[in-house]
Amino acid sequence: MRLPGSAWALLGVPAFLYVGLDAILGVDAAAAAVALGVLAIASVLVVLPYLTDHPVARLGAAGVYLFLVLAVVSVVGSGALSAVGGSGIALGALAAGPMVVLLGTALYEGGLGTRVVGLALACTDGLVLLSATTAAPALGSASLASDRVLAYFDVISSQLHALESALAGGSASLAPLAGASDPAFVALTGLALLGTLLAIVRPASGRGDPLPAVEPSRVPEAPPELPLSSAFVQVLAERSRPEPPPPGRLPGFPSLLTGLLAGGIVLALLYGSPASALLAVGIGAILGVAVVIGVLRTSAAAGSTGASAAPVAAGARERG
Amino acid sequence: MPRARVVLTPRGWGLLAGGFLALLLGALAVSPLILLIGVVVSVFAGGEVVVFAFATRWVAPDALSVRRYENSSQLAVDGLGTMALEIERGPGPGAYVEVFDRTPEPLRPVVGTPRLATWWASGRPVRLAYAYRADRRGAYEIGPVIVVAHDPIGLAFRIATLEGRWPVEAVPQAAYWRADLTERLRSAPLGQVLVDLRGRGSEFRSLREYEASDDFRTIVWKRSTFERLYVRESESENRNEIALLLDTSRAMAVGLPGGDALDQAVDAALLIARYAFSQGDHVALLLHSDQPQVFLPLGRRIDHSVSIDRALAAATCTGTTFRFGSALQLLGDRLSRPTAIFAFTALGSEPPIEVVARLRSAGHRLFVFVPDPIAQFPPLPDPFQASVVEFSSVPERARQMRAVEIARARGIPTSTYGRAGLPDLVASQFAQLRAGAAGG
Repeated sequence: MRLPGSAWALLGVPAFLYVGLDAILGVDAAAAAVALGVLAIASVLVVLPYLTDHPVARLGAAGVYLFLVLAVVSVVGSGALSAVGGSGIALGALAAGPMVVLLGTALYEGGLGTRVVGLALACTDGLVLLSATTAAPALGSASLASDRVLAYFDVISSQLHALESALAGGSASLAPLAGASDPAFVALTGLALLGTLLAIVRPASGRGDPLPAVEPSRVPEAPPELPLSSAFVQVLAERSRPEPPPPGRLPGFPSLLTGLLAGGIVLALLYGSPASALLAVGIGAILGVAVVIGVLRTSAAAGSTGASAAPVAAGARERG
Repeated sequence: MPRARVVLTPRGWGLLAGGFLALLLGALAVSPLILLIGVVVSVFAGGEVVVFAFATRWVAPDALSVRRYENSSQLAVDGLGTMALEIERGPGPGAYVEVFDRTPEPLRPVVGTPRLATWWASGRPVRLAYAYRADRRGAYEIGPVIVVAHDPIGLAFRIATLEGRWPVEAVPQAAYWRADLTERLRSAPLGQVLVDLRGRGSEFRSLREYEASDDFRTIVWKRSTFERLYVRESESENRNEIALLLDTSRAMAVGLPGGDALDQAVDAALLIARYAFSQGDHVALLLHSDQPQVFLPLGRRIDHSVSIDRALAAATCTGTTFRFGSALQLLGDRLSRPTAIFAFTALGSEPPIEVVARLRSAGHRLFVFVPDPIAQFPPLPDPFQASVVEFSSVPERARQMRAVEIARARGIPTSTYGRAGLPDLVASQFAQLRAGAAGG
């Protein structure tokens, strides 16, 4: 189901377009042209459903997943990487991967958590691409597209080995993703994160039904053709109507700013003392869980209600 | 005990879970960037929930008060009722709230709404006003009022239940109060049950001077002098005593909602009661399943009429079986004068012969109306389905028909009724009584 406001997810496009282009540019021209073609087609197909509600657009976006997976598997599996066209297709598919993951989860997800996980997965994929671009051997001024594809899988393999050794008591600093960093990518990822969060910062009930955000148009009601007393008709006319919050009040923004502030503190700590940053994140996570559970338990202990679920705001629309 | 709590919505749980999964993924990737995403999302979601819980502490029963206006408390089925209420809140920050006055399903709002989603700042009340139609007979309660404060971005809500219910009775309107039926009722005083004492009743009307034809015992000595004698003139008592017995066992729930066998019986009983009251008759009511549910002794005052209306409106089937003998015995004990007893029952048990004999010896007359279980439903369009239903109901129907035959064999006028036509049946019974054709 497409959520209202999901177009904010398009703020993630620059970050992953940047990573994709970074992976493609710098390889031999012929393969780069093919890869760029694949990236362009995939990008258009996944962005299109955000711009139009036409079912064909959604079908095309769904087809992109299948195409990218099949492209990479068939090219790598058939050994066609040595061919220019094959390596170009595979590289283009891998370069389009992060953007497709991000926009796909934002478009077809079932919950906000999926969007966040989609963003995290897209970032991870982007970091793998960045590492692969750095790690692939360069031949003169350009590297082979096939080398970048193979480097991509090498990075994943090395990351898994590093994790295995870290779990066995070794150091995790050997993990290729630990060192992967690009200031431009970090900045653009911040934009993508903002897009993910802005998509949910809008007045809505727990079921996603919109809450009044703007002054409703006051259409004068026709007097009901029912035998109602004049006193009741007067009370009916004076009943409360859906009201928006006072101007200037932006729901959720204080919490959003708090979250961004916490992120900034962690970022500063990471640059200053990475170990203390990780410690702060761990302690913060535990404290956060404790506070949230505490709030829920405290209020639940105040009593139980006979109502099994919150009424939906959709029902607030007048029935008569 | 206050009834309020904060609940995380699936959106809230999803966002928190997404944040923690991002943290986990960041740890696995050993990537500060992904860790950062997890931190921002987790702090955002957790902070929002905590701030919301703190800011909406006033959404609690002790900080909110409900005041209902003077509203409808009794209305006819398909009639119009009104409800208006005002909710005041205590001090505190504004919040998005959804106010919901819980209305039973048969009370259908037609104007206005019992729900409102709005931004609620302190210092002003929330007023709800709506009119509704009653789709079905019954005694209902409007309320409680439920106030739900929504987190502005839907991560959590706080719900408070406010007592302050409003009882509403939907009384069957006299849909069958047709001219032809009332004519037939009017022409049918209850035959042998009629007590006509020709001016020698017990109810005082006035004093007048003694005449030679007067009974010597009617002289009022205290008011009389040697020159002039006065006699007491009494009102002629030609009023009837009528008892309505309704079976409220589960067997009477057969039929469509709002039109089952008990609903038909209630309609017919109301028809009799209203006509009887209009003629000044005395009416008693007994709702009985395996034990008495409601008993209203004979009476004819307006408040008694209202009590009967209310009891009939609220009549509901219980999950038990009907004990006909015990119901008749109770009526026999409570009815001191010869009474026509109209019993609407699925005949879960046969009327015991000794109880019937006792009633008869006391001058009571019993008329029984039994719902036909198959005829309580509209005919099925598919012949196969119809035959399946008919086949499955054979045992119950056979048992009931046997009970009907036994009742008739014991001299009790017993009729069966379907989805419609019970009022006609009742009117016919009156007519037969008048003609003296029915025994009992």
